[in-house]
Amino acid sequence: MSIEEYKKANDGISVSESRKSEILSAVKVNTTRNPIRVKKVSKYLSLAACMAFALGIGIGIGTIMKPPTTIGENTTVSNTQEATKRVYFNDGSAYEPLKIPMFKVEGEETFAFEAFPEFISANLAVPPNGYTAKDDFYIARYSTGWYEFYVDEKEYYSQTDKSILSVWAERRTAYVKPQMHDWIASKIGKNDKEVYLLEYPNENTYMAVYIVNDTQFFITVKSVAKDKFIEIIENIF
Amino acid sequence: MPTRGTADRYKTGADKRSNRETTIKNTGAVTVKELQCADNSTERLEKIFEKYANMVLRLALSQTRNQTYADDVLGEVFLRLVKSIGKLNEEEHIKAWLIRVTINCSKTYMKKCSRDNIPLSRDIPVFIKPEFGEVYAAVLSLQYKYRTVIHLFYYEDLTIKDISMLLGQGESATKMQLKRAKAVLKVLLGDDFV
Repeated sequence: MSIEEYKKANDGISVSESRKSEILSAVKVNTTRNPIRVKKVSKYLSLAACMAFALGIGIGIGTIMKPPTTIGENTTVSNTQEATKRVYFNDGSAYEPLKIPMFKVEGEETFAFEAFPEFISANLAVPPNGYTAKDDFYIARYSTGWYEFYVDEKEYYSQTDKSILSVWAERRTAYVKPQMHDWIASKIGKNDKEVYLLEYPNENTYMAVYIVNDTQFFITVKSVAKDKFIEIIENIF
Repeated sequence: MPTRGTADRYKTGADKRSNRETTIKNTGAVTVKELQCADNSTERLEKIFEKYANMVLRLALSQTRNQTYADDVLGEVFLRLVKSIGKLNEEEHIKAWLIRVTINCSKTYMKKCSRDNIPLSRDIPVFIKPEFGEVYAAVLSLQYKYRTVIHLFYYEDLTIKDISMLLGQGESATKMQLKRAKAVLKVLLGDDFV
């Protein structure tokens, strides 16, 4: 028995192909971002820019401070904002986010958005019940541009190719953290729900999938700290 | 077994406190020129990833002893590399930088996980596949500082001097850690262990 065995064992460890492609795609995304270019400007121009910026901030704060729409029973919410919707193609090759005209939420039960102070300027409603495939989902407005929050429904995928869902789900579940699963499961404490917290390789992007009565929902939040995301998930359940 | 090449000097960017200099040998098939000839930084990053991803993963595994954590550390290290790639021109620097950042990331990650995670009702076994053998299991059971020096010395083939510089400690301390680590391994694995 010698230390050579340690070397041999290490030689047997390598990065999986799926992980490799995940990281490389994240690296590509990060390297292709355009750098911010700063040009020299005259002091008057910079002063004007500062004033315009301050005005913009003022307007922004005004918008944020506007109370969110309250969503209650038998409420219909319409919005003209755009949300990101995942689209799964029949060939199973890929999905792409599309900008679509905003949703219409019609439901018996919704829960109000006030529970999430992070989304102060947004309206959010997740209809846990009375939700059918024809309700072309959900919910999200992100006026700050920082947050995306979306829920997909299993029926939606099954209209296309079921294998797409399985491939996609399998790839994601590779990143399930057993600790988080236990932790969230303990928070829920109900047998009919299963929750997995997943992570994207990108910084500050987190995803959770939860299963209620055999229906899978996915929640993704970008540009938020992990702790904050856990807090959000905790609030949901 | 990689050979030990000409030592070049570099400053460890991560360890600003010590501001020491160290040397790392050139071990790989891809040369600096090849890396520099890459059309753009993405291509260069891909080449670096191809060459060093396994090294980072193995080191992260030895540090965290957890496959999931090591995967996360791997991603984190290469995302950090994206930000710092402009400063790293020499291949020797890249390897040293990756080792240093992997160690730092692993430490941070483990600290964060121990802080954030609620203890489980059941224990999750340390990542060790049965085929890895007793020695691997014994090394991973060592204290953090001991398994770090063992991995860097025996697997990465770094010199005592290199390891000392990377870890920001004196050569005598590294030698002592190595000696103690071997002594513990001997106790764990019995007299058969050479």
